[in-house]
Amino acid sequence: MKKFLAVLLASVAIVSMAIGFTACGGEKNITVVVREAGSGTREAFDKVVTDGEHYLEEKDANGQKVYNTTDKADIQKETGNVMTKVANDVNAIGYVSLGSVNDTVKVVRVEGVAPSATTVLDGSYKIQRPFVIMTNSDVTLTARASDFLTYLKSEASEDHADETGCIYLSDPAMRANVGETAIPVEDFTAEATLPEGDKIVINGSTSMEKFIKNAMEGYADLYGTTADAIFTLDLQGSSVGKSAVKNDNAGNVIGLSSASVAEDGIDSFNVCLDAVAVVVNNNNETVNDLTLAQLYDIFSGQITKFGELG
Amino acid sequence: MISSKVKERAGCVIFTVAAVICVIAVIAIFVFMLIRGIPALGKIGFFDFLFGDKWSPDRLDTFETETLSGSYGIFKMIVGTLLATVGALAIGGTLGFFTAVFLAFYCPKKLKKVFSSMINLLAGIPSVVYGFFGIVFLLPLLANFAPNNGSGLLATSIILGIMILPTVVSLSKTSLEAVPRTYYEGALALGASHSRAVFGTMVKASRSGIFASLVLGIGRALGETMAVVMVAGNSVAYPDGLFGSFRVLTANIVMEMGYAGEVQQGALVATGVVLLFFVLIVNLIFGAISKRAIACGVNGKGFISKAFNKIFKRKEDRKENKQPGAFKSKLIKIKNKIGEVKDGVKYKINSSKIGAGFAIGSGILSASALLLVIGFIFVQGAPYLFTHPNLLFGEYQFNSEEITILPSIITTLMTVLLSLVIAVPIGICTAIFLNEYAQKNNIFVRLIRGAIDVLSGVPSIVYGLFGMLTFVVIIKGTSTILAGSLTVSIMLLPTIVRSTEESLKSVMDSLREGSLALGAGKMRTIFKVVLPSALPGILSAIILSMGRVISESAPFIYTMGSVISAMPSGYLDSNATLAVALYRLAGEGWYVNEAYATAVVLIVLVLGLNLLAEFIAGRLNKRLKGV
Repeated sequence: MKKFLAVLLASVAIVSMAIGFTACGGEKNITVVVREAGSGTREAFDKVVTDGEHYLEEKDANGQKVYNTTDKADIQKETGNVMTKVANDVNAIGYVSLGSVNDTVKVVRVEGVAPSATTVLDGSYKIQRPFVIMTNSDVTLTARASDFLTYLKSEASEDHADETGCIYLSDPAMRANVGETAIPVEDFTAEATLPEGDKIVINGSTSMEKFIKNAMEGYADLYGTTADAIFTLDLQGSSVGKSAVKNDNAGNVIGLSSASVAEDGIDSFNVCLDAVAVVVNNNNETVNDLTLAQLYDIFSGQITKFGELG
Repeated sequence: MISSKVKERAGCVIFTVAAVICVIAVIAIFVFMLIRGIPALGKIGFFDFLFGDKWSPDRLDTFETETLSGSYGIFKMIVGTLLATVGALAIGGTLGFFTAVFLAFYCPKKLKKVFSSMINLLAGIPSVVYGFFGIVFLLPLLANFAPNNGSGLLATSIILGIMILPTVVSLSKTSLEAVPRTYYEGALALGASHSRAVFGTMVKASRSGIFASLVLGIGRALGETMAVVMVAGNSVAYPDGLFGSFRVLTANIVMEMGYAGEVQQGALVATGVVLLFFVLIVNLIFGAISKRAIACGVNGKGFISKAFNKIFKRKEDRKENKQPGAFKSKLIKIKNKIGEVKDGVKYKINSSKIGAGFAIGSGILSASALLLVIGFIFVQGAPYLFTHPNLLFGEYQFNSEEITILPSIITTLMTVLLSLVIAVPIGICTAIFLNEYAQKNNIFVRLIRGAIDVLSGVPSIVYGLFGMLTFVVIIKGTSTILAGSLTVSIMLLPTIVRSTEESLKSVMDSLREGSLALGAGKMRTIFKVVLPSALPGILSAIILSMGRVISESAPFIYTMGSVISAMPSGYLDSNATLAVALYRLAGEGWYVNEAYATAVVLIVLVLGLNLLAEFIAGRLNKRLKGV
């Protein structure tokens, strides 16, 4: 037994060293950092990035969903984790919500277009998705929750969107989800005192954290109090938010989704648009502008080194 | 008189009810997982789910959809889980085995205590801390000679290997030390050297115990979640090589639950069911092996002496007793020849000396692994804690760059308090029922023991899923501290029941008999005589449970929340415990210093509690010896 173990150990050591040495030298492989399947950010990215023939997420001839993202990708839960990976790895490339980008990473232009309010609204920046606010349609919202909902539906949201890098939507048609009627911007005037009701529970997409925190704070300021006195914030993902809204029987849950929602029992509207920014390490000097086809090749694993981009 | 009879009766009922609750908990976990998992399995197809190697879920798939557009095959993840387990076993198992040999036979007596408690401390370190250590230390180190950033199979195996080390070491050591000393002396008398006696006799004699320790290690590796998520890469793929990205079953659940669609969610629950069955099988194997080991150890005749006979007598027996035919004698000659050659080789290489070298080397390596993990995090995090007291004591400010973990500390304490209030009475009452009331081989008793064994093996992420499907939905619909505490209190039951039962067992029967003889009732005997004598053991079980609540993270993420928010105003708020906060901070790259500091706080808390538990257990032992 001990001899067997000794041999095993030795062979493991030799194999790992061999792999180590062959891997050394030459340019390192690109670390492709992506989000988990089901994430709104990933969906927005995968449905747009194409080499002209295939998309990263598509349906094959039988209607089966296919993900063409490389098997070697490093899959990260939550926006922050993607940023960390990219910020600490000079060979990494990833994508995050534009609102979450900070100076630890570098944003890449896509098809020559940098993500911004103008380029997203006119559609020239391709990788974008809506931020959706959801409430339960079968329950009567508490006075406080409905007051906050009106606030979110009003022009007040514009400032919060601007401050957090999202693109505010004023066009009623664009505010409606797929196949639904237009949703106009509502008027909001603050009540004399904070309306009655339990703490409002905010639940849903992690991508919307910055926006919603900003909005919560703005709303609390109007009533001269702090956000944590009015709200409970818990972000675990769009679908957790969705089921929280569905299970809401107290009328105090507001859900956030970073992908369009078309479901019975849920009232929803698009509060703003978000661009999904492609990010690389700050020390990466070669990559500044990528075409959708190049993005497809990188994320599907056909190009494994930045040097191969040409 | 009647009132005392009623009291006795009531006590018996209460203890029985507590025991029944344990059984119900197990049944509930299975039932709820199956209720949510089976429809998805039916929709996906059992074989497509287990053996399909394509996992490409579609968020929009619902149970009403005619044909699913997503694919839900977990085979790659099953393979990934098995590979990671094998890797962990190759590293942690080997190291653990040799460390146990080192501790039992090579370690100087003075160092032994220090070494043993150091290894035990490894068990107390929260899994997020291991994951964080992986991210900040191991991955950058491996990246030097990896084609990628270092994540993948090797990194996972190393981290898991360190995590199963304490399990393997402590159990192997116990079974090595249980081998009668006479065996060792016998080997020496027959002319074997110390190392030869150790590896030839002692190790062989205790191999079923060692095997059991490895099986338990496998169980731990299978169920581990957070540390693996942080270093595995998490692609749904067969890992190609040591640095290939791959995903384990537990990671699948924690990664995708947040954004899962209807069928996808069912498939994730079904993943939990598969995991549950894996762990159950491992537990059954463990139970079978350890039963055999114990049975053989007690009567001294069985397995151990058989092994002993095998080593020293078999050859002679054969020669004497059998009159082999011509062909057989030829075979035996060849066999003997091979034996001689083998012996010759053995002489040259002297494998027991190599074994001894390995043992000493492993002992040192295991100890340095602990020092490395703790030391690295302390050096990086402790200074920040002193320069930024705000992190610990600052007032929470919404949307501020200045982070404070005070709300998380309070949340953690609230969770510890509530889960203990729930789990401790149920656990102790169950233990009393098992030790004081139950007949040994009653079916009901076996059912309870089985239930507790199952509970102790259930991976923490499965508890999390269960809590999410039940407590979260029932209580408020969104995650609350209450839901998290309830979830974790089920998880604590096995620890409390087992250690309480152990310390009840150690109370001598003469005390009970004395009390009964003096006219005290059974209840009075239990509460006035038995429980006070068993108190130190129970206390140390409670303290260990506190440590467990503090260090867990997987059960909380989907039941209690994962956002560090304002001071909780009650049990219906949602917040992140310290361990979850560390997971978040480690993930969001721009709070690395805060993450280190949080890790330091976590380690100090958990290790402090572990040391306290050890101290109390030590006092118990002294007291028992004193009596």
